[in-house]
Amino acid sequence: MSPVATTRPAATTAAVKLRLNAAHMTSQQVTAYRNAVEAMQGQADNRGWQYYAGWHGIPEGWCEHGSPLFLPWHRSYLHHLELALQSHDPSVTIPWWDWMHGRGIPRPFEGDPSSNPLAGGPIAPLGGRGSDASGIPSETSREPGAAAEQDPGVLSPPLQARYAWLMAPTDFLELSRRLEALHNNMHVWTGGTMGEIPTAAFDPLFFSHHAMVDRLWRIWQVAHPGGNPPASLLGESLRAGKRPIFTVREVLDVQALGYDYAASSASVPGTIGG
Amino acid sequence: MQRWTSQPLALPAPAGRIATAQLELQGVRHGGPSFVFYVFLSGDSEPPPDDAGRDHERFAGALTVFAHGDCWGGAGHCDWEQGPVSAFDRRPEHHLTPRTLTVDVTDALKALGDLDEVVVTIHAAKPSNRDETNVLRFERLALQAYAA
Repeated sequence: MSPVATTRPAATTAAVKLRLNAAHMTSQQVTAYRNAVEAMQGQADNRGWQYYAGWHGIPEGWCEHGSPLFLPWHRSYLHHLELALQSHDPSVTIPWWDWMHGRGIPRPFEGDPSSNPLAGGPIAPLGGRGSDASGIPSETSREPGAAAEQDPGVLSPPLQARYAWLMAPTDFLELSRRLEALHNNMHVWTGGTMGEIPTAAFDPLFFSHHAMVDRLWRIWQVAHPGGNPPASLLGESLRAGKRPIFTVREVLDVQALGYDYAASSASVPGTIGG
Repeated sequence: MQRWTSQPLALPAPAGRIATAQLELQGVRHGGPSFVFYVFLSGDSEPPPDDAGRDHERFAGALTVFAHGDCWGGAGHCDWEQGPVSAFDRRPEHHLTPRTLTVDVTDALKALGDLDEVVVTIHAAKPSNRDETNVLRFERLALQAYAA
């Protein structure tokens, strides 16, 4: 049986929206999310996809990696992007890519970017100065599994065998270190523009990858009440292009940010395994 | 693929008295493409074969480094060495400031039995170009062992 992932349902209020498993969304939910992403991709100002992708990579590079702020910064980042998506459709939330159980990229994110905005899109930061002298690619790309074929050090999903190891720490910093390591692996496994920091967030799959990372942190938090980052970090601000500029303390409770994940999730192999 | 073998590292206590052991790669550069590296521990300097993987008896751990790729900016954009420009400069450090990476090697160290010193071998490769040998660049390797 797979690990049971439990979050706290009791405090859920009507205002809290649930993030969904990308592989289990209804066609209506996929369409709503796709439309919201497409609407943002069509905005060339500071409400649009290029603008938000630029917080993580080109040109701002505000992301935190190899740092104890890795988890809090990305939680704040996803919250800001989710609000921007909800300005187009208040019903949508960022779905999570379950690379603990799924074997590949979730179906809603597959296909041709020209017909499916979740499959990719343009990279046009810096006012559209994309792939000229800078060497920045003009479109997102993926090569799922290619790195794992080249190098057995890259693990292929599902990563369920790592779940117990991931969740074993009782200390936030060790949890963060292990979760970032699995996160790094999935970036490199996906390959293409997801495989490097400056271009990763231009791919819509990026946010579902990080929703999974955030969900795993949330599951760990429920299992370890009070398992917070060190007190010295709680007042650290998390860089963002728009207010509110959250502190670490302000992103510890996902329900205070208006979202949560399914209260529990469990699965067992079916008649043909998997 | 890049192969690197350390000088022998002294162990502060017999492996049986070590509760946790962590290998620290200090001052790791993370400009350039993402890469993967394997860590092997042994009691001598005989290296593991180039194709050694997770099932090798000396395997101690592996990490994937999600890196920044080639510089896309103008001249000086990736010069992390500059540091603060004044005593009033409280801006965050440069995004390419070298990092410390940690690999838990507790089980691998204990499997070696009681030794006075240990040799670390690292195999590093970029999935995008496995022929490249200048992959892992770091300043120092430290073994932090915590007594039981």
